[in-house]
Amino acid sequence: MTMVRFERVSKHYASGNTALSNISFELARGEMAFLTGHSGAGKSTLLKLMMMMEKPSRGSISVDGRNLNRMPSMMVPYHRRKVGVVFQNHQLLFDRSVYDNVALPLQIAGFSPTDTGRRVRAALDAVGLLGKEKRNPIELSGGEQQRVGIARAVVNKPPLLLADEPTGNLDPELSEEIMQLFARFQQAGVTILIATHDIDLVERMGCRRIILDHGHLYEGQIPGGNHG
Amino acid sequence: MVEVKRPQSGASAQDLSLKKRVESWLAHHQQVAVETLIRLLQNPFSSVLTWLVIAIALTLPGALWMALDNTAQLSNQFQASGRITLYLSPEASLEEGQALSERLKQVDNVVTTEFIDAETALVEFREHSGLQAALDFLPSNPLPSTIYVEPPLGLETEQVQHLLTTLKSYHHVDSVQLDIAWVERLHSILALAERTVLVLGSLLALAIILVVGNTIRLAIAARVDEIRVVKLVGGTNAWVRRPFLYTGLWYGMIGGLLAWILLIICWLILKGPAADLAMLYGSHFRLKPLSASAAMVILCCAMFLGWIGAWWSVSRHLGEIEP
Repeated sequence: MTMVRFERVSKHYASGNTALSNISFELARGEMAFLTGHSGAGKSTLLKLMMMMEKPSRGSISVDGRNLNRMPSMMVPYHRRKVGVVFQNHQLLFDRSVYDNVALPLQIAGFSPTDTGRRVRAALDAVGLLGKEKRNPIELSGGEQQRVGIARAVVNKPPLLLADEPTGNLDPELSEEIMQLFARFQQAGVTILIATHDIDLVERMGCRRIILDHGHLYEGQIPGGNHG
Repeated sequence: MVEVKRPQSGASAQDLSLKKRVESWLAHHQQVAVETLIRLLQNPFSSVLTWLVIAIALTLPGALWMALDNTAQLSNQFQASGRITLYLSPEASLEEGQALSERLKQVDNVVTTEFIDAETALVEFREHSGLQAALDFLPSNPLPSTIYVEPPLGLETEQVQHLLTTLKSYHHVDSVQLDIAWVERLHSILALAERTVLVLGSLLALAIILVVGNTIRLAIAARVDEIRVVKLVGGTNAWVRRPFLYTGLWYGMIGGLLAWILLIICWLILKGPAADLAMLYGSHFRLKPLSASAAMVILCCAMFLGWIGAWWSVSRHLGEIEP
């Protein structure tokens, strides 16, 4: 059961810069893995390819059994609804409450207000922010904002969750907390890929590690056989 | 591996039934329509300039339209000049003439007819011509009976020609005369005025599209972050576009309503002087305000143009905003 499959994927930019070269790997359903590497190694590009924010120059990518190369652009929004994303800068909207931020993916997907309310509260409960749904995210601390971002990423129950440096701005204690949160989602069956350069944290979590170095991929600790 | 709890097996977005999707689609339309209108009305000062530009751009062709409507009313008084005179043959009797006159009222493109018998014509001629003495010398009445036929205003030249042929084909009709110059003149004046309204209207419609487009462009620029996030979490282009399209629609509607007010003000200002002028010509002409149907057309056009302007702007700028 493969959730994500990269087959000989390369990404070159028009500037001549090669972000990824000949990358192949797989993520099994329900697996949690870390993507590490120096900054500029291509971590963000790899995540963007899975979100269809970028297109590969060569090779093919499939997510949840669908080949992204053959996906028409009008289907991209529906693909993105199946992929939750957490950003380092969390991308929250400060013109609305925490509740409305988390509810956005559900409103877009067409959930009724009742279902939306139930799911938003469940997601906020999961990240421990149930009491703060009416607050504006700008009033919250960095860690809390990041948790709002995570709640928004998981509220639609996506089978795949991507995180780009989710603990980049947080102190070690908060980072640990966030990682425990991800581990809990993994236990619920979500496939998770977390891009980070926090090596200590990765080692403590003991998950599979995919290392990018100047656009080339190396596997670190491989628990479930040899991928790619 | 054992799949404990597949997250997508719950009611995820992909599993929503069609009925639920249609319901939520309608609900979103409703919600966006209300929200965008409230947002506009809550900050009237930020958009009042756009509303006024739309209103003025609509008032100009609207006022011309009002003028045209009124010309149609005025032209009823010119209609006599466009009438057709049928001269009957001398052997037609009084009864035959009257019967023919009645019969002609049924003919297509005839509004009404008037029969003048030879005797009455002679009496009128005697009074107006000052040739009384000369007429007394004549052994018989030299004037024929006549029928005046009034066609509706604005007939095409072909239709008038066709009518003339038809009339001429009737028994006892000797000759047919039409003061066609007047009809043609009036016709071309009306056509010119209509064309003017059309040209001016098209130019101003373009102006409205550009003004709304520019306003929406600014609105988009102010919400770039939101659009990015919406696209990231799976918002379709239609979803992103929707609030802007409604905003354009409301701009058009408010501009249209303001144009109504401006047109009423124009009417109030012009009504008095127009009546005074008509009085000098012995006419009972009264300046009418724009008809309800015309007012509705203006409002619908305004909303449509606002929507088009928003669409144009959104389709130009939304593609540039990608997460």
